[in-house]
Amino acid sequence: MPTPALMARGNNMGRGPYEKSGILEDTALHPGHKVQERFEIYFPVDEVDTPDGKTAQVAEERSMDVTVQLWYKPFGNMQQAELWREWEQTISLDDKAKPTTYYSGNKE
Amino acid sequence: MKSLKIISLTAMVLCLSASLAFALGAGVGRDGTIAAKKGKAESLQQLIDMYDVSSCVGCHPNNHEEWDESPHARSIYGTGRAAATMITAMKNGFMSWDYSGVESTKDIKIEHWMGCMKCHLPQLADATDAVAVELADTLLEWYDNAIAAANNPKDKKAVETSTRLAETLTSLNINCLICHNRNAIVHKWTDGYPQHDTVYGFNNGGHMDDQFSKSKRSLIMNEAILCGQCHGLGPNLELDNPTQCATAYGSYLWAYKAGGGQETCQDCHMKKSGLGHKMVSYSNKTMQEMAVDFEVQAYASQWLDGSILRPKTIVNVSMVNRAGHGIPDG
Repeated sequence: MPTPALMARGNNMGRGPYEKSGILEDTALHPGHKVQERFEIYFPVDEVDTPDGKTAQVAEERSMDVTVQLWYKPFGNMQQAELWREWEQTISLDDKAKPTTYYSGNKE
Repeated sequence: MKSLKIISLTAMVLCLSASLAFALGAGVGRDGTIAAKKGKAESLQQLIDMYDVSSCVGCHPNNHEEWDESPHARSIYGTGRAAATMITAMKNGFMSWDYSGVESTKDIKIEHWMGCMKCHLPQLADATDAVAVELADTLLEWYDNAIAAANNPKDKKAVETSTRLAETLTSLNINCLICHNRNAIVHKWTDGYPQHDTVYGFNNGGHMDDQFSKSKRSLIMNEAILCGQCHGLGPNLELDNPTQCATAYGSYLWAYKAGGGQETCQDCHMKKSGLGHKMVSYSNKTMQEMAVDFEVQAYASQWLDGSILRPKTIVNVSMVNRAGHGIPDG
């Protein structure tokens, strides 16, 4: 959303309408413009011993439930915020994975 | 001697006429507006009565019910938060500024309020400075009693007073006569001043009402500029101390229309949404659906960070704002 300038001078934000004049920046979605956001969520990985005496890195948790929510925050926080969209899906490492052991490296 | 008296009387009448014309300002038909015919309101109740719309309800019940659910029906009071913000604007604003000329509420004049009321109560311009003081005192009294009532719900006096004053503040709003009369014409030297006996909409002819017996077409009733009068270009530079609230109309002009957009405010907020005079925005499910295309794609990938396994989920979110202005606005 627009970050209003305080009395149209400098880089301080004005909060009350009586002190707002101008815009410092605007993070709003603008008409007709496509906005893309990319998120990366990592699985926890443990290092385990393998039967051949080496160590391997293994993700014991193989899936995660991902929820994406789009909130409208009229005051920039959760006060009177409205949930506009919600998307949920379970993402599994095994959906397209082939059996693989990833060794941690050669022991000396 | 008699002729001298007549000359004096004529001179006085001319002087009065000249001062009245000066008070009203330029423009033919300005003397036919509601404010000019009724004279400036000298109390909040007179201002409420000046723009009373109780006679509209009988013939337009659906429009009234829709409007009653809209923020326009409580443009000063809101949920109480708007009224509290008015107090903040008063205390942290013109009561704290060195050159505003306001030290206490008795110093407040109409122009001090117009930073808020240009949009939240444009008809306040049709009231005397005494009403500016009364509005300030009413807001403060409401707030003190609302706090007292919240702290002690058994405090009958506080509950009664805060309820009564909240009703007064809610009665000051953007009603039928603001959009369909007072603010129905923007280019007044081109299209004429809104007249005290006329309702402005889409038709010319008669109107079944004792006070508003005529109907006339407003050339901007379905144009965005009707809403743009209040829904903001940015700083209100016409004020001695500019304020800034909504910026939606500025965004509409320079981001939406500039990109080829063809809809008006009324097209989306009233017609396509089916909201009519309710015309709410971000809190309404229909408007939420209309406003944004939202798409998510997610997949897993077993990333190697050097020699460290870093399996992850990648989530790509894509959004397109289909509204005619930036979201959020503010």
